[in-house]
This record gives sequence, structure tokens and C-alpha cells, in this order.
Amino acid sequence: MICNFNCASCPLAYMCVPMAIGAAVVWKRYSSSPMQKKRFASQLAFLFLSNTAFLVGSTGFIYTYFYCWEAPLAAMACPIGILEHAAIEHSLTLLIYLAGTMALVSMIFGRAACGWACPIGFMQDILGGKKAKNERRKVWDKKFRYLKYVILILIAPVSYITGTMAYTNICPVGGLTATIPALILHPHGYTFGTYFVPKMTFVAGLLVLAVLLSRGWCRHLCPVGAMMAPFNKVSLLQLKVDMDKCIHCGKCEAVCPMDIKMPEDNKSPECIRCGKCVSVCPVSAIKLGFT
Amino acid sequence: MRRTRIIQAVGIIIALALFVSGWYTAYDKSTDLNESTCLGCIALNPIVSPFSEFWVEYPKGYSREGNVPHPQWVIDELNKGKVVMLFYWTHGCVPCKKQWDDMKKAEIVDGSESNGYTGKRYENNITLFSIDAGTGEGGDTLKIYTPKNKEPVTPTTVILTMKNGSVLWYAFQGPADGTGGRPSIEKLEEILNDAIKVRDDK
Repeated sequence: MICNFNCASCPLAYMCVPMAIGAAVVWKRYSSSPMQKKRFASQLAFLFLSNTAFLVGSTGFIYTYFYCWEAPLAAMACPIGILEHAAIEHSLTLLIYLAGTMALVSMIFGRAACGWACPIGFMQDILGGKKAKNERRKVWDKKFRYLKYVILILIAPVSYITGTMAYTNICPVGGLTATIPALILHPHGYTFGTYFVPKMTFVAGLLVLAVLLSRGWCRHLCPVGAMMAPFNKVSLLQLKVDMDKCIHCGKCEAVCPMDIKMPEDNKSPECIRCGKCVSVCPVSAIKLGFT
Repeated sequence: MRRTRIIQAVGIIIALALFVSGWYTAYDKSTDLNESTCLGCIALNPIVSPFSEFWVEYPKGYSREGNVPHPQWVIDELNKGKVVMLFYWTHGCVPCKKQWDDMKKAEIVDGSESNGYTGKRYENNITLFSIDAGTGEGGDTLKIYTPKNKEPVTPTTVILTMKNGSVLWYAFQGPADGTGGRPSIEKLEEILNDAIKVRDDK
């Protein structure tokens, strides 16, 4: 995973540059407020930081968002991969390390990593899926939100029982950030493995979901988001609502990419602390800050 | 409000304690896992140069030139007159498990990946080292046999033999499934038999 300073084969050129161009195209969405500009800068910075193996090598730190450790320049370890290895190898120390990393970041920032750091979240922001507008869709959206918790709960037992990295084998994030770049960088360097077709099917599913539904992956399927979600209730970083100021105009709810019932549900496990509601509030009744 | 602050303080202390103890005990393990490419994770298998003849020095395309720094424990085993086979694997690696099961069926190996030994057919001639690449030492020796510009990959299979004091070796990344230039299990058996023959030739 170390850079050989061969720019022609640099994954940054294949992944980060197109995403940066994509982000530049959608800059208008971010330029609405200073906070959204900061968020844009943060997402770009974390996209770069996630791919710094050419500077620091492969480290043992764990991403506190979803990114594949087999991405060509991945510098840190995948939280789900670590969870599966902990289960397969019966390694309590790996489990403690993962729990400590995720709990520490989540206790401080809640699920802000989804909104400010995660490259998959950034990609979804760029693809700009639609919000769940009609009532029927909202009902289904609400039901499916529990799916990510079910997936998270099943990962370790399935790996423990089968002795395989069952989730990783079909993980669409790995397909998107590792398999596709590997094929682009070395088009004649690989043959397809056993799980290639299911993996690519899930990649297609992820992309379709991202286009159809705003933050669809974060809402329904992301097991890393599910790890952090419960901490939203008690994290230091909170959305604070001054109900005395609130004029109930509904703009905050209308702009929320996760379709949270704002301003009442400001501590929702689904909140990714993106701050769009803060930016749009006409009376500055919502603030994002440390308690 | 006071209750929330207490929960936050306790939560952060517990999280910090878990993180520090986890970092102290598992950081190296996490690094080792991160350094070795899991082929199952990317659902791809590398195309490799097909076996033509055993190598003495590093062949073209390898990370180093000249003599190969074979580990001393490999040299010791070769000096005992054995052919050595190194099989690098990681926990949860689907292609590793597949190759292991195929080799077991062919009686090249026996036992499990984590406690493997030479199978019946080769027990007099071959010493097998089944090595977890997710451990520091295993990962380090795997790098010796990793081609230039490529990452350490599991499974990697290395076959070493000795003739007139020179170590002859051959290695390939990815499963022995007969595709992408990689040998099939039958071809792997041929290579092992060649290695035994080379050793026996005076």
C-alpha cells in the first residue's frame, strides 16, 4: 500500500481527483453557508487523509468511518474488518481496541464522522439523492432504518460461526474503494475471485440507493454508522435547539438529508451533525456545538 | 443536565481506557492485518508469472535484486535435506481456505491452517510451514517473497529446495486454482516433485 511515486499509477488520480471534480461541480450546494463550506473542506481533507499510505505507510489505527483497508492507498484499518478478525481469531484485545476507538470518537462527536469525514458519505452528498417525501415512502424509510443495526449485530456471530469475513467478502464499500481502483490500476493484473459478482452487485445497489435516496446507505445499511448512532444521545457535540426562538417554519426538517423530525428530535441517533439545519434556520435557533 | 454531564464524563473515561488498553495490546496486530492484502476482501486474484524454472536470485519484477535473504529457519531446514514449502494465510481468507482444503484433499498438507503439517504423500521429503501473515514475524517473512510494486498477499505459496549449497525457490501469490498463470493443485504437485528431484540430483 506504499506509494512508489509513479504518478501514472497513483490511485489518488483515479479516485480522489474525480471526486474532487465532482465536489467542485456541486460546490453550489455547499456554498450556502460558512458551516457547509467548512464541511466540504473537512470531507475533502478526510478523503485525502484516508489515502495517505504513500506518506505514512499502513498504520494500525482504525478508520472511525467506513473505508476499506484494501483501498490502494488506505492508511488505516477497516472497523468492520477488525470486528470480523476479532470474532474469527477470538481476539478480545482487537475487540477492545475497536470498541475504545469507536466509543471515544463517538462520545465526543456523536455521528459527526458520517457527515464530516466519511468518503462514502461525501460520495452520497455528491450524488445528491432525493429525500423521502411521500408518506408511504417515509413509513418504509423508518422501518428500514433498523436494518443497519441488524447487519451490525449479525457480523460478529456470522464470522465467528463460519470462520470467514462474511460481510467483507460482499462489502460494497470495499468493492467501490478497493476492487474497482485495483482493476483500474492493473487492468490485466487480476482474475475474478469467488465473490466478485455478488460484490459488484452490491456496489451497483449502493450507487442506485445513493442516487434514489439522500444518504440511503447511511440511513439503512451502514454498520459503522450503527456503531456510532447510540452515542448521539450523550455525545459532547450536540445540536442545540432554542425552542423560545423557534418559529416552527419547518425549514430545518425540509433540508435534513436524514429526514429527521426537527427541531423536536435533535438528539436522534440518525443525525449526522451535518449542520444543514443550522445553516438554514432563519432565526438562528439551532446551534451545533459542544455541551 | 447534571445527569447528562456525569454520563458523558463516565463514558469518555471508559472509552479512553478501552482505547488506550486496546491500542497498547492490539495496535501491532491491527498494523499486520492492514499490511497484508486480503484477496477475499477485494474479490480478485492476482495474475502471476507461470512457473518455468526455480530461481536462485530475485527474478525480474521483484522488489530486490541479487541474493534473497531467506530466513535462517528455512536454511536450517534445507540443510537437513528437506524441501521447504511456505504457505502464508490469514484468518477469514476465503482463497487461503480453498487452497488449503484442495491441498489437504491431495494429501500435500494435513491438519488445519493454524496447525498444519506435511501430508502423508510428502512427509519424508517436504517440511511445511503454514504461516499466519497477520502476525508480525509471519508478515515480515512474507515481504521477502513479495514481488516489486505489489503488496504482501494471502495466500502466497513459496517452494524452496537446495542444490550444491544454493537455495532454489519459486513463489506465487493467490490461490493455486490453475487460472491467471497460477498453478493448479496438480501443477503444484509437479513443482513439488521437481523440487524433490532437483534436491536428489547429484
